[in-house]
Amino acid sequence: MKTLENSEGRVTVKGIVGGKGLLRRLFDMGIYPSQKIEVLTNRPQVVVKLGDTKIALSRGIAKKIVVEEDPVEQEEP
Amino acid sequence: MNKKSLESPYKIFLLAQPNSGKTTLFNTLTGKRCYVANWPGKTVEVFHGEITHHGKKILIVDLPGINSFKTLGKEEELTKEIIFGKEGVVVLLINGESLYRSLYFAIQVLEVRSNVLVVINKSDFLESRGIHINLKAFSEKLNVDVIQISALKGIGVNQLIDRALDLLEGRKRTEKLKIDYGILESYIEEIESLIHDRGLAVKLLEGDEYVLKMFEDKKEAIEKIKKEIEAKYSNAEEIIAMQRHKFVSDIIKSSVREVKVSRNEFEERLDSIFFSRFGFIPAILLLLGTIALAFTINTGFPFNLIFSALGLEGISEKLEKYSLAGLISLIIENSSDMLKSYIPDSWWGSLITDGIIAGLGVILTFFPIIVVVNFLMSILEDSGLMARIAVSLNKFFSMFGLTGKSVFPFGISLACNVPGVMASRILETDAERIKVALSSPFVICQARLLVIVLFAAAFLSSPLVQSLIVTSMYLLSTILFLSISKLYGKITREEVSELLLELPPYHFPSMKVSWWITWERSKSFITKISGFLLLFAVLIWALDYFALAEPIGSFIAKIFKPMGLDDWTLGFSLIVGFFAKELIIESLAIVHGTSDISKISEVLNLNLPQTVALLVFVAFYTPCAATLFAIFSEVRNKKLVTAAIILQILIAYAISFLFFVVIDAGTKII
Repeated sequence: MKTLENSEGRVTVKGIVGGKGLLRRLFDMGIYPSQKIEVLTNRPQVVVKLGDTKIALSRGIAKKIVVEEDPVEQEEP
Repeated sequence: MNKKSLESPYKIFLLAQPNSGKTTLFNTLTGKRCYVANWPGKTVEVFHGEITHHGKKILIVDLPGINSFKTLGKEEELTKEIIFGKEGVVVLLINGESLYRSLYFAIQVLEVRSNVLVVINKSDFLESRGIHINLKAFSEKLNVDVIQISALKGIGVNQLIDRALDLLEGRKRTEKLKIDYGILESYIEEIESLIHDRGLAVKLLEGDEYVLKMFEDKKEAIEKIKKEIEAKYSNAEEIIAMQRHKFVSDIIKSSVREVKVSRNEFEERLDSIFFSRFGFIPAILLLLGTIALAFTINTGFPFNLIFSALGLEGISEKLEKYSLAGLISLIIENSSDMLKSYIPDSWWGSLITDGIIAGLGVILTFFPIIVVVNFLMSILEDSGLMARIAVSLNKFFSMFGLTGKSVFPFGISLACNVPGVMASRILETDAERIKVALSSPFVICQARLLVIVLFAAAFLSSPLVQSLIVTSMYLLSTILFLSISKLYGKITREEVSELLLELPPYHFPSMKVSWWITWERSKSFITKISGFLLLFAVLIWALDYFALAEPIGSFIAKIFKPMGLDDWTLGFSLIVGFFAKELIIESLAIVHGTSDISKISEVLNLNLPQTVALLVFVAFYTPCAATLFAIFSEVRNKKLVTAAIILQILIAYAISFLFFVVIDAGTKII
C-alpha cells in the first residue's frame, strides 16, 4: 500500500487511517481525501507542499495517510 | 487593568491563528496603551487597550490565538465564547503567508458569527511574492467586508477601524456564511429546525464539544441523525471537512492570482539542506551558536574559558567583567553598600538591605539575562529558522517520545527554566507539554552555570579541566532531560507525540516583532515570579538573622557526609539555592564573612571528587522556587509535580554520589 511515507512526487490522498484527534489535526492542516499534495522529501521525516504551504510530518503520521501517486506529466520540450 | 474599562460599548476582538501577526496588529493599533486584565469571570489573562478614533473610545481585545476549533486550554475557551457570542465586532485576521489554511479556519468562524470583519494581513509579503487578491470577489464569496493590511508597516490600519466602527454602530450588518454541504443539507436542516441556527447545527454534526454542551438536551436526537448519516454515507465530520476544503479552494482559484513565479532558489536550497539526513548538523550549529552568543553576552562563558585556555587571560577577564551579569552585580553591590551607610543598624535596616534589596538584586540580575536569550530565540523563531530546526532534530527527539518542537522550550530553559517551562505551551499535545515541563529543571540554566563556573574556577586549577567539566555537565544535563521525559512518558502511559508542523516561509526577522515576542515572554518573569522571589528572600534573611542558618545547615550537611561534603555552610547554601541557585555563592560569602571565593575554597578545601560531586548536585537538585512555581501553574497536578521534585532530588543525589565514588577510585589508582 502506498502511503505518504513511501511515495514521491505529486500524490492524491486516498484515505487516513487514524483516530479522531489525528484526523482533525490533519483536516485542519488541509490534508484530507482527494487533496493533491507534493512530497518534497520522505526521509528522515516527511515534508510536503500543499498549495502555498509546507508541512512537516513525522513518519509515524505519514504512514497513516494512504495515497496514490499521480501519473507523471510529460514535460514540454 | 480594571473591570470598568472592559465595559466599553465599542469592543473589537482580534481573532487569528498563531503566527498571523495578531500581536503586531494589536500593538500597532494600541501603541503602548495596553494592559493585561483578567477577563471578568475568568482567570485568563487577556491583553486589551483603549484607543480613541473619531472621538469614540474603542476597546481592543487581543483574544488568545487558536489553531482550530478543537478546544484546548481555558485560554482558548474564552476565544470560543466570543466566537459563539454576539458581543462587539470580531476582526478576523487571515495570514497572507498561508492563505489556504487561514481561510479554512476563517470560514468556520464566519459560519457561526455575525459582525465579522475579515482582514488579510502581511500584504507586504503578498506583494513581494507577486500575489494579487481580488478583494471584491473574496468579499462576495465570504459575504462580509474584506480588507488587506500590513500590520507591521501600519498600512490599512485606519481603514480597519473605520470598517469595524461601521459594524459596531450598525451602519452595516453581516450575515453568517452559508456553505453548501451537498448530501448533508437535509440533515443540517433537520437539526436547524431543532435549534434554530444553521451554523451551530453544522458544528453539532461535527461533534464540536463546546456546542454540544450548549444543547445537552438535544443530544439524543443529534446522535440519531449522525448514526443515520454514517450508515448511509460515511463519517459526517469527514464530509463537512471536504466540502469546506472545496469551498476554500474555489475562493482561492477564483480570486487569487500569482503574477510572477515566486519560488526563491535560495530558500529552496536552504530547505533541502535542513530536510536532508544531515540537516541536524546546521540545526545544532545554529542552536548552539545562538546559545553560546547569548551566554557570552550574559556571563562571559564559554568564550572566557576558551580565551583563558589560550593564555589570553586579559581578554577572558574583560569578557567576564563586561558581561551583563558582571555589570549588573557591580551596580547592585555599589548601590546596596551606599544604602547601608544611610540605614541605621537595626532589625528592619537589616531586613531592607540584606533581605529585600538582596531579593530585588536577584530579580534585577536575572531579568536582562532572560531578555537577551528570549530576544535571540525570537529572532530564530520569527525568521522561520526555528521551525526548520524542529523538523531536522525531530528524528533525534522522537527516540525519547518527544517531537522536534521540544527543542524550543529546551533552548529557552538553557537560559532560565521559568520561561522554558512556559514555552512548553507551544507543544501540541498535553502529554508532551507535561513531559517537557516536568523534566525542564534538568536543563542547566544560567544561574546554575554561574555557580558551576565559579566553583570550577575556585576549586580546579587548570582551565582545560574546568572547560571539560563544564561541558560534560551540559552533556549530562541533555541526557537527563531526554531520558527523564521518556521515563515520564512511560509512567503516565501517554502515547508518543508525533510531529505535525506548518513551516512558515523564511523572512528577515523584524526587530519590532522580535522585541514584542521577547517582552511578552520575559515580563512574565517580573509579573508572576518576582513577588514569590521577594518573599523567599525575606524568609532566607530571617533564617540567617535569627541564627537558624547553622543548625539547619549542619542538618542538611549530614546527608552529604558520604561525599565528604559535611560542612554546614555548604548545607545552608544548598537550602538557599532552592530559592535561587546563584545565591549559593552569595550565601557562602555571607556565612564565611568574605566575598573572595578563593578564600572560601581554602576553608572548604575540597578535592577533585568532592568538587565534581558538589557541582553535579548543584546542577540537578530541585528546581529553584520560581521554576517550581512555573511548573505548578503549567501542569496543575500537585501529586505529579511533588513526585517529580522528589524524584529529581534523588536522581541528583544518586548521580552526585556515583561521580564521587568513581572519580575517587580513579584518582587513587592514578
